[in-house]
Amino acid sequence: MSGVAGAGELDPGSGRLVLSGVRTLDLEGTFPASSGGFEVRLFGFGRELDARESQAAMRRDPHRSLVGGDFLSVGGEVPLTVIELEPQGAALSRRRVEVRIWQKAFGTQLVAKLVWHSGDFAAFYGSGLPYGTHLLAEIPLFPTGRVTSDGWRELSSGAVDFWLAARIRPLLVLEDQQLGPHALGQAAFGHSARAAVDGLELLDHGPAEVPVQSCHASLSCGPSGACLYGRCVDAAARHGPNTPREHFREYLSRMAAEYRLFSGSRASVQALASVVDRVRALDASGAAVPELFAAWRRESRALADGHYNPRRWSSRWPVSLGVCTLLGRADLSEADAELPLVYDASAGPLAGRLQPGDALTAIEGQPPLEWLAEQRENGSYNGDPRGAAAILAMEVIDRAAEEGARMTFSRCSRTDVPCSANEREEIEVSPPQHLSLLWAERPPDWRFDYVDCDARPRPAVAAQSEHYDYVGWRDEGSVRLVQINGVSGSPSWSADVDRALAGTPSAVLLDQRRGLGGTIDGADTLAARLVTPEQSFAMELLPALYGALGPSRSALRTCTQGSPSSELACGNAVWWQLGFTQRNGRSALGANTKIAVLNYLDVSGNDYVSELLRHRGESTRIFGPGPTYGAFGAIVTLPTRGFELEGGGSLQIHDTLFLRDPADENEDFTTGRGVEPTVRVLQKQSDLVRGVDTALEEAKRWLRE
Amino acid sequence: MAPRVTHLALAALATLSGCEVAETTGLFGRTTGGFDGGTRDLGFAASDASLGPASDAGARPDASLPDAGPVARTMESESLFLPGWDQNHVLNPELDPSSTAVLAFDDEFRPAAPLWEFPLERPEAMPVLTSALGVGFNVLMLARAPGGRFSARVWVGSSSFGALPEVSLLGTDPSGAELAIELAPDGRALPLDGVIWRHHEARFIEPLVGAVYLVVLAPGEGPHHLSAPMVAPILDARSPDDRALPAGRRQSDRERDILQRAKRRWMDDMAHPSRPRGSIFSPKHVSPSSAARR
Repeated sequence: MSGVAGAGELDPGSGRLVLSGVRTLDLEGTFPASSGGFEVRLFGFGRELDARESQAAMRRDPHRSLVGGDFLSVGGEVPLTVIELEPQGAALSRRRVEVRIWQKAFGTQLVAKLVWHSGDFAAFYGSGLPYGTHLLAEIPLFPTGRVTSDGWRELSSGAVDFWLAARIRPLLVLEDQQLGPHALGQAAFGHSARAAVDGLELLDHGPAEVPVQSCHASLSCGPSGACLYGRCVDAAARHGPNTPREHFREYLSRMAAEYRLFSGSRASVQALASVVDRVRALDASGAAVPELFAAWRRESRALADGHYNPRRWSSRWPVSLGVCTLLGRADLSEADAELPLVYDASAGPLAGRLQPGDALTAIEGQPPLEWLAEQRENGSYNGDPRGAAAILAMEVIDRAAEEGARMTFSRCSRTDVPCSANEREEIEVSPPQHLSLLWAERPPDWRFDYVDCDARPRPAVAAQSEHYDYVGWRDEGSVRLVQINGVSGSPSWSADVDRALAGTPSAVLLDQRRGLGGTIDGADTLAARLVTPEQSFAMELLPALYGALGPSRSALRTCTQGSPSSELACGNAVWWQLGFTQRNGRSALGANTKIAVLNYLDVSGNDYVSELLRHRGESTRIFGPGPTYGAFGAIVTLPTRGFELEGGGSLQIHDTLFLRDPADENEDFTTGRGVEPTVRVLQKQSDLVRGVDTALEEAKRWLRE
Repeated sequence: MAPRVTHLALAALATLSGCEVAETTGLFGRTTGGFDGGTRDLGFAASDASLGPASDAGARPDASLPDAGPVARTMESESLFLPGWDQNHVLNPELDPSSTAVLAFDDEFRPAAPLWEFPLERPEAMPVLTSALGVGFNVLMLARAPGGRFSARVWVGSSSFGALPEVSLLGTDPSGAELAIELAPDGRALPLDGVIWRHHEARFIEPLVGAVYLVVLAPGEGPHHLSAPMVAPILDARSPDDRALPAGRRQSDRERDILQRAKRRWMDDMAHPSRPRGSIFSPKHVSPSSAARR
């Protein structure tokens, strides 16, 4: 694929690359390498290398170098290279520029990224600690397809407005690709592995395309732009790199093929074709490639795979304004609408103006839930679409802030009846005013002011804990209150569940409003104590299968049931007979014992618990704002490929059939359809102001009837 | 309050350097750093030792080399993904260890942290997974069984004269019988940079059901290497190498061990996608600091 306009070409006589960009770095010479308008800085573990140490990374080998006689040998002991692309002057600040660089693997490869930091980035790359700087945007460089016969590969950023919002200078960061897997504890780190780097060039694609202006949701940044923290930036920095269109198409095909092959969710795979078609239609309409990455994020919500995580094609440090909101009923407003209610607020400059009970009434003048629905590419929720509003309401403040969207809150100091218009206090919050500090030399500390966002306005059990492994319980009259945050299945968690459900309580309230899933063992440990064998028998977790379901299912069932353990290969199918963890025999509560379940954020392992408890029939009621995620299966994380930043996505590798009894031949797969509440209940604004937990009280009332 | 960093790689950097990162929240939520605390240099033998760290920092290595004449080099083109990707039913043929679709264990079947390498000399232009510390290298790769005739193959390299690795495909036939099928070396061997690479492949005329597992069991001292796993439908004409599925042999104890651990690992992953795999987590909506305010 030679002949890329403006890019360097091999000189057929010398076999060396002749750079032709508007600015080039041949990596000849000595450190500090500040020639050609670049500044090359190398980082070891915990500090920046000095000039003498950096010099050791320069290799002179005319037979191997691509340009001239020297190249840079980094990775391993020198895991990070940061190249300031325009450390001085501003000649390219309003230009559209493509960054190209070549690398050759000698044991490792480098992940190359175009990065924009506010503040002092150097301390961060030396220490890994994010003080004094903020990473506003980063995008990966992608392979151009140009390679040399001796193993050099070219990477490109694609054309992008060079300075972010015409304010932030770009960096090229070269990072040993071993770092990501190592951070997960899943790979060793080869300190002596290296990659060679040579031939950096900047190609000028003309004037910048994105207007230099502040922005908010209703003010467009133009066809090439997007709003980020109150300023217009190149859409590539926000959504993903401006790759050649044919590369995106090939990449889309691969993502789709991977999902089709490995997703266990039948409904999701059925939805895949229309998801891909919608992205392809946008492509055919001429939409810019970065918008196609955003479109995939947006459209893939329709897969309704609660375990799906798109890969990352752009990244930034998330900012938290320090406000927790959840979906509630603003009954102190005349409209009595469903709105995000403030549960908790920090003392930050924006959050400090808010207090529990305030209702978010508008974003950019639009009802918040409508505004959220238009922001589908941003939220983290991929489960049953009917459950989206409640989950996304937890993220709405930070999403609005990223978009520079103005928010209107309503406060009513009364608790008995709705406030009249005169009594109501309107609070206007304009994130751009606050977020402008992110672009400053010293980003404010409150950007990391996360608050605990729990759907329980106050603890049901004496000692509330947000820890995943937590199990709390106490008796309140005849009701056993049990509180969990997931179904970890660890030995201590399982023992606590046994203790929490010991005896014969006449009624149980299970508060799993922070139900972040866990393990089959955990879900079984809990559910088997609450559900009798007559109420629910077993689950079949089946992988993707070719052909008709019947024969394959029959084969896999023969396999899973014919073995002493469900952990044989069996095509990755799992036969889960409820109660398998109860080695001393099932001791479920009586079939008529009332059980109230409180749901809000419930996924995977907690999906199963909800569904199994639903099988108890009339003696169970589920109280919540909407369906659970509907993620019935195990998750597998995906490898990083092509255009991606480290940390690939994930998908669900099973779908589940729930069997009521041994004769049940149910073929109705469940993924994508969460467990609906028996009683739809939202936290009332009036209760929140008074410190009353609406769902908890309603559930207790029913249990005591 | 401890800030959160979304930068997975920087978390590793901080860990390797001994810096304390109180909480790191990226795509995978909190991580607590690498497996070894950053204390182990695994002594990767780079394909070109001259590219390793210079022993005399500050001196310009090889500066006395004369400028060379013309270099024999041509420009070529390469597709974004390697040929065959659209047929490969292995979920993680890149062997990216951050994906749970490939799992590595040592001889005691404890999780092993392998090296993920791109040596200059390798049998195909695919990454290489290499055993690190510890004895033994037992790797399981998740794949989907193609719906008809199929082949399974992988390159396995060894730089020692110990026992040859065993390569097998674990699956389930249409009758529901468990099969463990050996993939013997097919005679293709490549000596590359001190490593003897052997190609293991088998072709079958009948399908398996559901998922299959490509398993490499390399006992004893290494290092051992593997690369370019592929399970793919056979689209070409019948070959003399095609064979019926063999009569099922029982899985060996070691095959069963690795399988059970892998399945256990996946079964323990029924959680929010932001949860880090295999560790207790602090989800996005939770901050220890805020609990104190309540």
